[in-house]
Amino acid sequence: MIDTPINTLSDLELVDLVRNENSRVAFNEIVRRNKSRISYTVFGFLGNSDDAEDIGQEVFIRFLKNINNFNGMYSLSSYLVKIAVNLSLNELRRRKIRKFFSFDKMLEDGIEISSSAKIDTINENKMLIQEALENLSDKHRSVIVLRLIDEYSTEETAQVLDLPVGTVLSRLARAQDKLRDLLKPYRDKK
Amino acid sequence: MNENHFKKLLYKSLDSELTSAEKESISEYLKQNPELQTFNDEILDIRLKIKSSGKVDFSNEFEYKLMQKVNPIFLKKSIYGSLPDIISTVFRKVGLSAALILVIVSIYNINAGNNNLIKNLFSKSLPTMEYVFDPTSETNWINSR
Repeated sequence: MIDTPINTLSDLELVDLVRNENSRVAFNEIVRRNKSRISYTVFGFLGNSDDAEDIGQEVFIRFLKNINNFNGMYSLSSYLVKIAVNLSLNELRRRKIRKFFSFDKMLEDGIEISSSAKIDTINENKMLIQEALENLSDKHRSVIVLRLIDEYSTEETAQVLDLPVGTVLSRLARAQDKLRDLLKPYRDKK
Repeated sequence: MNENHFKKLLYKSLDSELTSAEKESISEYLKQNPELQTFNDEILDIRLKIKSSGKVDFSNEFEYKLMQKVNPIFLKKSIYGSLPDIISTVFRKVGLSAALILVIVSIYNINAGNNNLIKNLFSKSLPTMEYVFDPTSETNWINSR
């Protein structure tokens, strides 16, 4: 295995190298292969914020610390995304608590883009979508992020969230209904 | 069948496979109902915007910063990673050696007629060889059996 180029090894072989030989190179390869997917998940949940990158790093650190718990039941990327979803949801809960105690009610009633006149259309769309996503409940946001941003199939989304496919489909439908309602005022403006 | 049914079918068509009968019924309904077509277009537009808005990559320093953070974990693992194995091996070797020495010393002492070690360990004395086979003391001999 030592002579084999690291980028040709399977995910499970890389995990074994990290687990048994404490290989930093193998760990780095795992990070390289999965960082995009993790970034889509984390940024999908948390938006383009400073702590999103910290949460992304925490995903890989948690994985390394508990590498013996990875039994190959899920694919490595699904396993990492599962960690990312849990950490992101925890962060969102922390944010809600912070927001509650800071009495910041600015975004409580619907979406509000404070300086939309100054920003270009693409960024405005991104901000609108991000704020609409933030107004979704955790369970609805989870399915939207995994299915539409991470582009997992419905079955994969169900697997990551430990839900039946039917539940994922109904949550997706409800989440899209809610998004449609939230974005309606902006559609009508145009 | 009402509009809600077709909305459900529309959503389903975006995230899973429809049966041929479902496909046929929905395409028929879409042709006759421009509102549902608008609804479909809006949902497709929202999905497209979500897809494009969420694709943000970590910064270029992400890997570097992460490796800096995990280095101590690797170091700790390399130093202490095999500690449980080392401890268990040492304990096993020390334990076995101690048990072996104890057995040898006990056998030697018993053969030499000295049962103090066993007496100390179990607070019970074994009869000495002379005592057991002392033909002049029948009672003690019986007791010792």
